[in-house]
Amino acid sequence: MDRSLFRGSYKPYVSPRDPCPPILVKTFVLPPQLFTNFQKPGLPQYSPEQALKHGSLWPSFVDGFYSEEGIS
Amino acid sequence: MWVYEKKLLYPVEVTTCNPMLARYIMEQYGGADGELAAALRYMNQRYTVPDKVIGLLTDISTEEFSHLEMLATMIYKLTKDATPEQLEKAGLGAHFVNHGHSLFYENAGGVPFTTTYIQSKGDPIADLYEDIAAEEKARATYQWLIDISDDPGINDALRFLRERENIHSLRFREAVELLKDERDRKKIF
Amino acid sequence: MNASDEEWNLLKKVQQMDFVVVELTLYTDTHPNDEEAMNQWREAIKEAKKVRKQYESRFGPLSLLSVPSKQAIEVGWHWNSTPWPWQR
Repeated sequence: MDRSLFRGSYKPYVSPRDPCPPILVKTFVLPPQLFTNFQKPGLPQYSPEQALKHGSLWPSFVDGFYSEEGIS
Repeated sequence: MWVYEKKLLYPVEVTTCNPMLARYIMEQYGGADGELAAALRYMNQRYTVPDKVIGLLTDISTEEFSHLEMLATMIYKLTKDATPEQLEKAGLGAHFVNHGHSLFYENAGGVPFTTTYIQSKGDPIADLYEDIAAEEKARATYQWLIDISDDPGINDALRFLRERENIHSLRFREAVELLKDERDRKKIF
Repeated sequence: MNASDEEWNLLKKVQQMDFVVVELTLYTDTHPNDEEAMNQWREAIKEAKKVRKQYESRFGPLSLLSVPSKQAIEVGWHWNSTPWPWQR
């Protein structure tokens, strides 16, 4: 899964008078379901083991989330 | 009626004794966008939605109760053997004097659960759009919980729960599409 | 592997098979005309039942819809026995 397909970003305005060190690029989540209003039949599936691990039977709707991504 | 299953939807393993994390997780236990709110919202809306989507609301609501049990397990394990001093340091001193070691439906700030968090408008689109929004807000809450938690077992379970929000949001979006198919049905008669 | 690990792992297998049923139930709620999915859903329920039987015959019923096995009764199983799901 390419997580970057489900992330967006923007460059917030930075003021010289901002007290905290500025974050120059902010990333946010664009979850997979945003791009499909109706799931197509016959999509590839995980095995039961992998499905429980990932939280869905269908890899197409799994985007994962990790603090290391720096989204906050 | 419902039949109790003596197992969790997903195995929860807690690695640390961390009452502070328990307090944060309460946001999803008894908070505005939490699992209790979700379960109650769908279980109540289902009586007045078109027949086509009753099954979906019933099944998702039922699943939300199993999510609530997973969160309860996390909170229970994270606080089980914590001393009053540890609870106080974690910001749970006020919780402790009112509730002891027991769980309570309140958010991370200690505000008790209220049904003003949920709606039922008797308008299928208004209700389903609220449901979609609720799933996305819960997804966001799980993200911030994952960001703030460093317990690998908890994070694993939180990632599972976050992914379920994706699927529920998708199904509610599909429910809207199913209702759009009903357009102009009357004119054909 | 000790007995507790063995039970945990077999329970996980039940959780995996049951999860597939949960997923397919929601899918068929919104895709009632997808016959392939309906068939897979039926099969998934059968598979989940098999694995559940394996677990329950050794460690006792997970719900009151199952009849307690002789083996479970012999080792002193009660519905009220610990551990409850949040205690494991």
